[in-house]
Amino acid sequence: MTQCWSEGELRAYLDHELPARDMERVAAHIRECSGCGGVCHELTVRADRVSGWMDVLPDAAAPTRIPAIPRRARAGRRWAGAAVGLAAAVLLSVVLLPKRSVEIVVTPPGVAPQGSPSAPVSVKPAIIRQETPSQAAPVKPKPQIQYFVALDNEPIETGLVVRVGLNGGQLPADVIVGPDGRARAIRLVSENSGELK
Amino acid sequence: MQPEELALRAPAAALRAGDWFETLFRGHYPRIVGLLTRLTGDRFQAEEIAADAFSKLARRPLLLQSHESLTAWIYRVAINAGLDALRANARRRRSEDAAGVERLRTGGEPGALEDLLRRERCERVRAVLGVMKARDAELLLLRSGGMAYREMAQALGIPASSVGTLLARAEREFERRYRARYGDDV
Repeated sequence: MTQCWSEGELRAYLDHELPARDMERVAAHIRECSGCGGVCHELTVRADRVSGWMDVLPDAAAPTRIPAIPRRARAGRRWAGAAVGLAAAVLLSVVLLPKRSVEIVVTPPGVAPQGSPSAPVSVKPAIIRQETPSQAAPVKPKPQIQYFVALDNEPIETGLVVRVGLNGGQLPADVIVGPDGRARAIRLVSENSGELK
Repeated sequence: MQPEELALRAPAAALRAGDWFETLFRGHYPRIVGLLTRLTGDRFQAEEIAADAFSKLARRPLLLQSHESLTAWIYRVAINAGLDALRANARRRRSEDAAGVERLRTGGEPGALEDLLRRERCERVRAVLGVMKARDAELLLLRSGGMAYREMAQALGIPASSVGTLLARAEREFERRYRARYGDDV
């Protein structure tokens, strides 16, 4: 008698999923082996029964239309967008930030040299810088940039920045919330970051 | 053509992640929607789950670049989400069916009984699938959807030679659970 076949091979045989040569060999073996024949019969009955149960589930009524492919934003485009945004921010800061106060130009009255009172007085204009007052103006603290810290490794394409209060509302923080509602990044907002106005 | 087949025909470096994604999407989206529709009984929900699974893949560039087992990954994610939806739907459907029985009792439309029985059979099958291991349920769904062993192996990320063994086990498990819940009432 030829070698017996495994249950998996017999199941594949029933579905005609074995290579042609093995199909013939299994068929020949089943004819002479009552054990494998019994397993085959049992597998056939069960497969038909399960298939009958599964066939109760309705098929999709209409063919599925393939929608537009959800594309990933290309990394290059993201960098280009960031670069354009940075350039625009720099340009705006140059245009909109207040200029330094204009230096005061004072033209003093001419001083006539002694011994020549009758000489015509020639006055040359001179530029004198006004001295800075001894009491220095209070130095405005330089805003400290607070960077967002990503909470996962996935790239953030879109999101909403939400101001929240941590530690019972005492510690303000900005959270970027993704379209799926998950928090994607966070940053603390301190007083000298210039964003607590 | 499967993404894995595409890799055999072209150098990996020549393929962009977008090519892989597009091949996978065009090749498998309709089939996944079909499977999910059978599983959940809701075409719109099936499309939503399938689209969500592909969106998840699109947001994982490292996985796309690895080019490995993308087919298995997308089927696994979609079917698991479908099984979750199936369990979530079960409670709602039970209350709807109770309302249907009440309508029948008070004199329903002709054919309503057959419709109710058919729905009851569907719910039984779905309930059993919902408590099975995800891979077993996936095997049965793929097979009942008419997939060949080679395609099932690709969708599950297993060798084709293992499909027969796993399928036989899944069928035995399904029958055992079905009979345990509903007796011999087939």
